Amino acid sequence: MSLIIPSLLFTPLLFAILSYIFKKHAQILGMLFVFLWFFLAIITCVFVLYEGELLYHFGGFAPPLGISFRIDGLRSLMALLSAFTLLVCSIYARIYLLAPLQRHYFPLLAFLSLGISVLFFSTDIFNLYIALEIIGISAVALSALQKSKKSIDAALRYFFATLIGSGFYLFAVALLYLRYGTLFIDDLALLIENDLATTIALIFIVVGLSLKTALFPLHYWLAPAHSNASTPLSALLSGLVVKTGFFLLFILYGELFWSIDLFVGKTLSYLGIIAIFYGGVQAFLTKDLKLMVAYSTISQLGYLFLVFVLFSPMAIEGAFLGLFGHSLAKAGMFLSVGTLIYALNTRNISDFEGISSVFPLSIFAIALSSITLIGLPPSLGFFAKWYYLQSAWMQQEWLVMGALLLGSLLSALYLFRFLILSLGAQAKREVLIKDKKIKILEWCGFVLSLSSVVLGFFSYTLTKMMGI
Amino acid sequence: MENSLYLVALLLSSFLPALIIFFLDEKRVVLRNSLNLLGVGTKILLVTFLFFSLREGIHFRLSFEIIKGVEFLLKVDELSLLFAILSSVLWLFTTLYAIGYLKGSKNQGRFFGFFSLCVTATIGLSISGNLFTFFLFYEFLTLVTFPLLLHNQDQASKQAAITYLKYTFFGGAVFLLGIVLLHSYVGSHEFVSGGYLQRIQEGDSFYLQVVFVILLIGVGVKAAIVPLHGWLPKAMAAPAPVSALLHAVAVVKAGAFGVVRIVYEVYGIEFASTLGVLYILMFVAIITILYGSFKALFQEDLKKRLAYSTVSQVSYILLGISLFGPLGTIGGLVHLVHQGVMKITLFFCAGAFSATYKITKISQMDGLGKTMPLASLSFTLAALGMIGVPPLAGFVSKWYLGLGALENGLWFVLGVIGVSALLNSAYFLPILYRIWFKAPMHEKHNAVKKFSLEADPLLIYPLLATALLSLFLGVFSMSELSPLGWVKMLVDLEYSR
Repeated sequence: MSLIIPSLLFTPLLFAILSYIFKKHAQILGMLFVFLWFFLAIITCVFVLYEGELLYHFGGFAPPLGISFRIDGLRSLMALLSAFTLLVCSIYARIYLLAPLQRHYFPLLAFLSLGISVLFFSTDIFNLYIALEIIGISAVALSALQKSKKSIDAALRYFFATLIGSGFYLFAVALLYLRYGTLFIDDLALLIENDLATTIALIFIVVGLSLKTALFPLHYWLAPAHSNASTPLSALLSGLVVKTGFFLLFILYGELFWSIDLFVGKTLSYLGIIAIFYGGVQAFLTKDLKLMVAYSTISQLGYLFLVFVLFSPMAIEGAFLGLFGHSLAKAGMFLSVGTLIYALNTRNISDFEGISSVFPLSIFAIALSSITLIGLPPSLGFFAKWYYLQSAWMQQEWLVMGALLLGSLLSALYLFRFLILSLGAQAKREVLIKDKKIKILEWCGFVLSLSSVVLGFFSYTLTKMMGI
Repeated sequence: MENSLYLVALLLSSFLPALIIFFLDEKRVVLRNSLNLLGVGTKILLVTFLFFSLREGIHFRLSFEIIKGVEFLLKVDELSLLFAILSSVLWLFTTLYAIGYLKGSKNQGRFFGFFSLCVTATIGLSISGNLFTFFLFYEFLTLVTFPLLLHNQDQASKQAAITYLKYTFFGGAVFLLGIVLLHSYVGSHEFVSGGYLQRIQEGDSFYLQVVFVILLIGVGVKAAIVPLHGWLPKAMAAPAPVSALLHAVAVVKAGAFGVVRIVYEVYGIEFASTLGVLYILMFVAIITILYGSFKALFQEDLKKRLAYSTVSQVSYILLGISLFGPLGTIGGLVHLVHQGVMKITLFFCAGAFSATYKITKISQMDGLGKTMPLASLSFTLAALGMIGVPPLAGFVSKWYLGLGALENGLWFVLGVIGVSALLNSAYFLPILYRIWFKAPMHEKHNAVKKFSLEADPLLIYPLLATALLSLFLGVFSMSELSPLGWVKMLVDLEYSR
């Protein structure tokens, strides 16, 4: 089964090129790809579960000469999560996007998947830089797909953010290479020392990747970019793309810097706490539905950063349960909200009064997502908070504990405000579109949202599979 | 994992109908109603089966590890059956009543779907085997009752739903905090008769006292103890069947049942008594009983008066728990059942009055005894039961509560029960006087529609049934199969260790 890793890497590359050349068949190739990739991800997961970690040396050269790829439990789960989200979002996009846009969408999507798989599996910090760039550029192109003035503006901002982020990261890679003479993570982990060059590299990595993950106060690009992209792409950007930056930061911090770090982890976590409240308050204040969901992402990303101060196995399990939960819930929420916006052709929150009687399934999906985002049982979000709380309690991080409890109440505030509105009396606006297509769109969002709640029952299995 | 399929079936018997109903077309009334009744029937059969199996010593449990060291645990014990039987029997009557009450109104699919989910949550609460599982269903209950409160879709119900969420989310967060504190101290254990904390010898008693108060606040929000009761009177904006279910089994009882589990099966009554936390509970209960009864006096709206009456009556359960000794416990636990049956009757009647003659205020109830004799009779029976007139169900509970107080030599508790009974009479008897002795305000032809009976038969039969039940619960309380008999057996278990 040594073919698993190369096939995970080459399938997206192959389909990206093929669907770019045969533009007329891009849709069919694209759909074929997402199903195939999902299938491969399942196989990988099962394989890792039974056989343990997988290693693959590219071209047969072991590091430090060659590049190696590694899949362990956590990475295989991340791959499966991405493949699943991509699959559902692509089914949605197949119906939602106009045909000419789809021809751009599917090649870019395959490139994005390529970047994602390299980022998850690579163990070479320069190779990881390339993955960052592939993800960044394809994500920017995807977010500008709609070609409206607003979305181009937002994409441009996003472009600068991701460019600067990767630039910072590249600088840190160069610094580490000069200092230690290797790019292979495992070697670096052995060599790493607490000196000035390393600290500077750490700071550059943290700033660059925080910019990509939109940690407060580097979040400025996220809300416009995510809210102005077309719906399936908002879902992908919020559900997956920002998570890749976090994943990389987590891996590098955990493997290289954790043992020598004195203040960066703490700073990251406290910024995360600010992000939780800033994002929540903004989401509460805004009148634009899609912007509300985007601000909620900023707030939810803050929870992920809490892991850096705790960094116990329990907290890490919590962070990743939260990551899974948020990815699925937020993607599902963006899809459902997008369906409503598509049907009513408005983004103003108050126009959605009583919409539940017209689109009950979408509102149900949004409610399920809300359960996960607030952290109510039995969703993944709840178990994430449970692990976090336990860890914070043991390490006596009272600030983190307070943020976890109050943050949930804040999310409940803006999410339930929308739900109560939607459950109200008669719909104010007339529904423009109601046909069979909408039913499928509604189900796509519903499946994602539901999975974020139901997977909570399997949280113990998930944490065991992570193998932390 | 003994006989775990029965437990799954018990949950699914209301969960599956709910799922199907959600995806059913609004117009398929017959199919929807038959699905509901099928679910109710299955549930009652299953619960009866469990009842007789447990008497023969057959055990039922289902568990799997959901977090490291924490199990998702369902099991059937004597206490869970008490609550499960109550909720499934009352679900039957409420379903019939709701079918009649909502006939021809909008969004029925949504209503019955969430209604069944609500029952699933209460059944889940009753068979939860540890605090964590209890918490899961406790929060699930919050989520599924909230759309029911919003059902009328007007401003009042919106306000009610928002208030409800504020209170219950606060309660949920506090409850979770308590569970986490307890879990990090002793780990997670299943409920056992006599309590599991009792076995931990060198406990930090101050820590455990604080945790008790935190847990009490957590479940107290749903049990509507003062000052956490604010959501309950507002929740009156919901349709009558919802109020009935909320007050009799679902929400307030979930809170009271939580207190029962915490005191008897987490702390253990003897340990709780040595810790001194029973006095906290007693204090809260007494304040709530007096405050609720007192506020009820000033309510002009019938449903509001009943709501404050619930605030006070539910705390009888807590009072019974706080009285150390078998007699007080019997009084508290049996009141869990008796209050449910009587209160659901009262709300059914209030709903029938408002559905037939649009009566919501007490001042409009003059002479109802002539126009709606059956409903008025049921109302009278339940109200007298609430006051504690023998031989009705409420008398039995109060009798044991009084004995429990005497057993402990707590004369002032007896005084509280007496004062509260006086207040109960003060707010129920004027209503009864209006119903039977004043000249009718409404003529029969003023009714919203014409019926063969005094109102829609689907409204009248369930309320007659529950009224008779509250009479039988009192008259046949000495039977072995009555709730009282069951509770006596239960109490032996709690005190035998």
